[in-house]
Amino acid sequence: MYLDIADLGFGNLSSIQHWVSLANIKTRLVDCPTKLSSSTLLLPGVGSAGSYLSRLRELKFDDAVREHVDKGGRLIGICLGFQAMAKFTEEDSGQVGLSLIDADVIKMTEVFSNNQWHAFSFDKRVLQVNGYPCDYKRSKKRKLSGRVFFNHEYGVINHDKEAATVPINNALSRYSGLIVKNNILGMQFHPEKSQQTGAELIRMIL
Amino acid sequence: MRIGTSLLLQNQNCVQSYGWELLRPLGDADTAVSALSEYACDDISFIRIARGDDCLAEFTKDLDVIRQLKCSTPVAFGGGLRSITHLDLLRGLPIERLVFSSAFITKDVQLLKHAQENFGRQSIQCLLPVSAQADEFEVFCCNKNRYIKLINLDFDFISEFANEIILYDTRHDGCASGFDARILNAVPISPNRLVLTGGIGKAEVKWAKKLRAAGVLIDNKTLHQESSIAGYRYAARM
Repeated sequence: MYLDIADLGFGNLSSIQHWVSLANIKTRLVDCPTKLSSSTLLLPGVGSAGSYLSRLRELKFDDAVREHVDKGGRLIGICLGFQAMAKFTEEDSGQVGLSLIDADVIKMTEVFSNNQWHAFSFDKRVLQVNGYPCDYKRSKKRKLSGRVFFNHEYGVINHDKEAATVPINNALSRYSGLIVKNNILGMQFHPEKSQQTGAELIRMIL
Repeated sequence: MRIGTSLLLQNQNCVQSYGWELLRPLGDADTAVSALSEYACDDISFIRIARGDDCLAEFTKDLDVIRQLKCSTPVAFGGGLRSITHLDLLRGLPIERLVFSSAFITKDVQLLKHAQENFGRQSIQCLLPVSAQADEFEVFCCNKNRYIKLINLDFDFISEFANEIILYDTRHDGCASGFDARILNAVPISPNRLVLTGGIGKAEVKWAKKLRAAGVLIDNKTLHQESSIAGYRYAARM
């Protein structure tokens, strides 16, 4: 059992690998889309949207990611990887996303930047109800309460009423902290840097 | 408000500084991070002690220390980030945020634009080591080994390229309290983008929280038995 991590040259890949290893799952860093083979693909992201999306397209990961999703493979997006799944982002003078989720990314107006820990509650049934397959059964835990770490200036606005969305918090309730739709799971926060909560979450979502 | 801690790096080991001069060893980074993770520290800032004579070879050796960290806490890294070569060496490392100091003081646009494009502005912090001298303030420019007047800094430039600004009160460096609040009045940046460090005690945590500062960094003494971060966290809740 292993999970593919898209290596676009951005991001804290070693942190992501360490995080996934907490669930006793191996990972492969994949820098070429033809090498993708796992049923689970992770899109990490630390950077700016313009450079990230350009790199995705340059390496032809955009088509590969869509094909992976169309075939029923699980896709997990973290932070910028999550934002890249949207239709459009205002960052870097406006960029077209992968349109995998019916959402847009806008500059947050309520705060200059959300660089904080926020309380997080998660019920695993959200995944089941929304058709997200949990193949590896690494945890029997159904509910999780803890805190997660955010670091972003742009927020995701979800337009899909059939997708499950967990808001960031009350003050930033119009922005999604987590979205689940079928085989796609996106997280605005950094689970790989969310200490104990992140460690428990990876076991629940795989 | 985040309550984090700073760890200074010198010759691949963690040290604590006092008054911007004396150094006390803290041990290796792995041990330090393990201890801080137990405290559920909000973030950890690794800052290299880098002056004008810093070189790429030493920088690379310190990066090897960071590379080996298995840390589930957000990590900021800085000290000696002076060229695109330095930045490119950071790819893939377990670092979420970058700390620049001299680049902001000398207005290195090319370097900061490269950092923005590859790491995102949300990951960029500007560190200003400030010293209060009677009625005026000075900021230390590390790559030139000298102080310049704080009023000569271009804060519009800093605001454009930095997500957060770390104000480091060097006169209270290593102290249990005493951060000079006058520094905040001298810096035309909203408190919600400021991180305070140098002389941060429980009283300072309380007023920083009232001010809605972005965060505080407890001087690296949290690793000494006589201090722990739990007490500071309690202060923030009160």
